[in-house]
Amino acid sequence: MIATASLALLLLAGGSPAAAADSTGAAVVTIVVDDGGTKVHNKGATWVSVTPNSEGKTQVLAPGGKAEYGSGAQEPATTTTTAAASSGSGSGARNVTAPSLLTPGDGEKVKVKASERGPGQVVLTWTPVAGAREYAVEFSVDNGKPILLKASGAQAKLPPIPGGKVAWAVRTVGEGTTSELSDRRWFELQSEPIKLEAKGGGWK
Amino acid sequence: MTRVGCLGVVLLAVSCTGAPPSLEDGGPTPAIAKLTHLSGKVLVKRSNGDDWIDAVEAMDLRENDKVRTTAGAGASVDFASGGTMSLGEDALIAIAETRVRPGLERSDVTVIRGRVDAELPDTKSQSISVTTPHVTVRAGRKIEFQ
Repeated sequence: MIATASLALLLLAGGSPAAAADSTGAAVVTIVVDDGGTKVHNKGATWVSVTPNSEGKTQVLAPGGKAEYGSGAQEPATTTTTAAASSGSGSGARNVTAPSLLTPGDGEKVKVKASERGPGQVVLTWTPVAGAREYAVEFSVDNGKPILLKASGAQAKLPPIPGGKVAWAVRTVGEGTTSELSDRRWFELQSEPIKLEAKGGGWK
Repeated sequence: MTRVGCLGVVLLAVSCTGAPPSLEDGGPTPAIAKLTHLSGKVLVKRSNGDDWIDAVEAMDLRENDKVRTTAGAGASVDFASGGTMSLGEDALIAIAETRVRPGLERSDVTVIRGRVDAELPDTKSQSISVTTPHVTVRAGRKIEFQ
């Protein structure tokens, strides 16, 4: 337990475990994704971390370590990990997990071009989740009232927004169950105005 | 003065056409990886396209492009940042958004289906992050906990 805590502290402090600190070996990881879940095998000389997309514990895989995560499981089904940094409750009661948000990146400045029809639209993307029937996107502009959107796939186009600070997060909606809210991200939306060019000489 | 005004209009027009691509128009973004060691039927779907196209050797890959290998096929994705990912048969991956941080290059990939072998030769200065529908796997110099 003490060794585990020390290792976690070393990693949290930005250092590396003693076994990896002097290692210049390559990191080699085999990842297999199928209907049963995700299998991870650390074949390299350095440590790798595995974090469930939903709430759960981050596992550290030592060289040679393996972990397996089932579709509905939030804890590894089998693992030979050597350390864990705790986070979240890890209740494991839900059948679908929250997605990982992809784009726009957190804190990113996004420019969209306005058209004659109005402000441009931003597309949000996230990782697809096994067992998802649809996704519920929550977003707000400049800390305003949250707005809910439904999306059938792993992306959603926001309605035209003139600009501002947009915060967003996504839930996975499965059959009779809904995941926790994903990590919350925000981006700065900057709408580029339409450039008008007046050509002289048209009117007499 | 009139000539200066015309020059301004021309510069404005140039700056409009030379503006960085937005998410809206799906314009080209810098290639962050190349597709190599193709074997069998490998398909690519561009981030701004609707169709799967046949992959060719050394094809550039940009963020949000997808790569699919069919039964018996295989391919490698060589990242400009130095990492490599080998795809087994019947795999589907997406080149995720890559954000370069000072002193740390990072390649992000989403594996939707199949087997991949990710290799990072320089773990002191690079890291790689691979997301699946269930977990996010990180390797390299900086291991982060959420």
